[in-house]
Amino acid sequence: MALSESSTDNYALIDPDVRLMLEVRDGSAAAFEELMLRYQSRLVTVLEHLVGRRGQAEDLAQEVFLRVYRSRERYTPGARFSTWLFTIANNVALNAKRSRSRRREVNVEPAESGAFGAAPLEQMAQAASGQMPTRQLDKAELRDVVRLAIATLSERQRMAVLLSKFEEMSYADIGAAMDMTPQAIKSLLSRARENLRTALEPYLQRGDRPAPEVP
Amino acid sequence: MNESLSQGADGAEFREQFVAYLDGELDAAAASEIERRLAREPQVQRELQQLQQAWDLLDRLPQAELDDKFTRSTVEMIAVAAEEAAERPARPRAARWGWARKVAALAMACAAGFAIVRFGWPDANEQLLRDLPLLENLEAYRQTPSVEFLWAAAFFAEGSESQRAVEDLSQRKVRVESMAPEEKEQLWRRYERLRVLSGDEQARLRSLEAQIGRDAEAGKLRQVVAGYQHWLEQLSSAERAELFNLDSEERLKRIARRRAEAADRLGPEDAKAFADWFEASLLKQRPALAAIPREGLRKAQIRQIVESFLARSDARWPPAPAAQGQKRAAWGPQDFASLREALSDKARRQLDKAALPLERRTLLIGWLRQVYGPGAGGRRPDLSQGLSEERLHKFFAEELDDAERARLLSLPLDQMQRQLRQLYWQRHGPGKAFAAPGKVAR
Repeated sequence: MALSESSTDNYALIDPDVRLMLEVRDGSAAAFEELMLRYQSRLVTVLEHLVGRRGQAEDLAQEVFLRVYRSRERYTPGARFSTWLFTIANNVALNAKRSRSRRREVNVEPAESGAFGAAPLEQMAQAASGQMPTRQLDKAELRDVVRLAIATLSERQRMAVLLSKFEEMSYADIGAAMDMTPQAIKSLLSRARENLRTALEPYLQRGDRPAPEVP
Repeated sequence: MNESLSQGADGAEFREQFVAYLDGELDAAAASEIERRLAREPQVQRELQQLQQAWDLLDRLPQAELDDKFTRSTVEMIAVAAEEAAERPARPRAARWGWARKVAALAMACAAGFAIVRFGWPDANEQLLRDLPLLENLEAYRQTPSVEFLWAAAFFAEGSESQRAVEDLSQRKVRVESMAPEEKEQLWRRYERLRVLSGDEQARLRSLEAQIGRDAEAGKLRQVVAGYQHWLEQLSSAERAELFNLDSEERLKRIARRRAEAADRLGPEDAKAFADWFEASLLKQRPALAAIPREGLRKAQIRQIVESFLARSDARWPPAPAAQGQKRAAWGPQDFASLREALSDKARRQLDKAALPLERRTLLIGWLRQVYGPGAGGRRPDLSQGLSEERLHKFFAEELDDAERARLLSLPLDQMQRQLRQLYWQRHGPGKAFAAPGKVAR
């Protein structure tokens, strides 16, 4: 996309990370290291919940940084830096999924009815109701339930939820990162949040809160 | 299971609007419509509560905390890729990729360098001793184009300690050897940063340092440099980078503006008092806001109002747009009286000093920007996320001054940790959430 000089300047003005990336483009190694330090944990967090495995998430994050590095000389600010980075992350994650499918690996990622396969929502609900003891769930159990709930979403829903929740991106930015319109993101997130509410409903109705951790 | 909104007469469209409301994506008119329904329909309230609770549960998901090892291994991997690319003859620009190797070398040298400084003293470190005055204020030297610039920034000498007498190399060696391990490591990192600069820039910095040393008022200039360095260390990396990109004149202007803003900034307690006062006043003006059942949502809505207000170039106090059909209400003296009472003496004096409407408006908008604007917490709800103990410890050790450390240490542990985190985020801001303090020298 061709960008005017003024829009490039605008992004550089409002986003300090764009300015850092422009320094990377001009050959600053320190700026690249700084960007990595700023984003590596955030990136791995999103990727881990997207693909479900920490090790794979770290590998993918390294791939994302490598792509950033390789693209540096062509870099022109067309969005916030985080939007650009997560656009790359989304592409890397999709490619990884395609490769896995080609290798016919057993995929642990469940998917919601729709784009990526059969819905395990009922399974999830059964699991949840099976885990509904009279006692309160402890922190680890609740975390697992939430992981399971996230896993019931389609990949696109999951990515949108993670970018909204952890990166606090606007619909427009999520749309830019996922190559969708803001209106499509609005619908996607609406369905995703409804699915999450359904999956987690037993816990909400009971007002379950994690029991305090015993040291 | 409750009947979902999407299953009712409202359909998916209302659910989308509803979720967009929760995400702060609606304009004021659409948000008011949702708020009206919230105020009169218990089912909508229940729905909102459940959606929000489910969303809040996602906070239980663990967030990754990566250390320097990940950074180092990534940089090394990139260096290898760069090396491979450089070996390809068809890529004429590949020579420029050498900097990635430098980063990898730097990352490894930092670990090795620490051991050298700590356990031995090979001749190779003589250059480090020669550069010691430069290294101790590397950021300030990098951001100083000339001695004249330092005279123009002479105000930095105020409050800066007078500098030690000129040391010879053996005295420097004794001093470095007696440094704490963390200080040695920091020194080595600065040395490595100096070494990866271009030859011209290294020569410029050394020449500037020598010029200062020869000046008849070298002591005063060194005080300016030390004060400047201390001030620069309080800035985030991005702010330092921004300053670095300005020419001398613009840099001095920016410094003056930043110092003036800092003088007007509220302390943490005043900031909280101001936020409480502002939100209470806003709720009085907008009853629909007060009707929002959950505090978190109410605050999110308030934040949205303030953010759109601050984004406007013609922002006029008060920020709250009048509800439809109502006249925009001014905030009267009684409102300011309650604010005045809640503030500390220092902030109260600032408020009193800004007696004219325009002055007061400027001051209040400045405070509003501090409390709600970029760098004040944004939409990130839990500021403790993504901040490791190690980073917090570094921040405490390297970026706070003695008085701040003493004040924090006098507090009960939980309060101390909370305030330390607040201080961290005040200085680093949400967009800088994962920056390592002092990591970059430019």
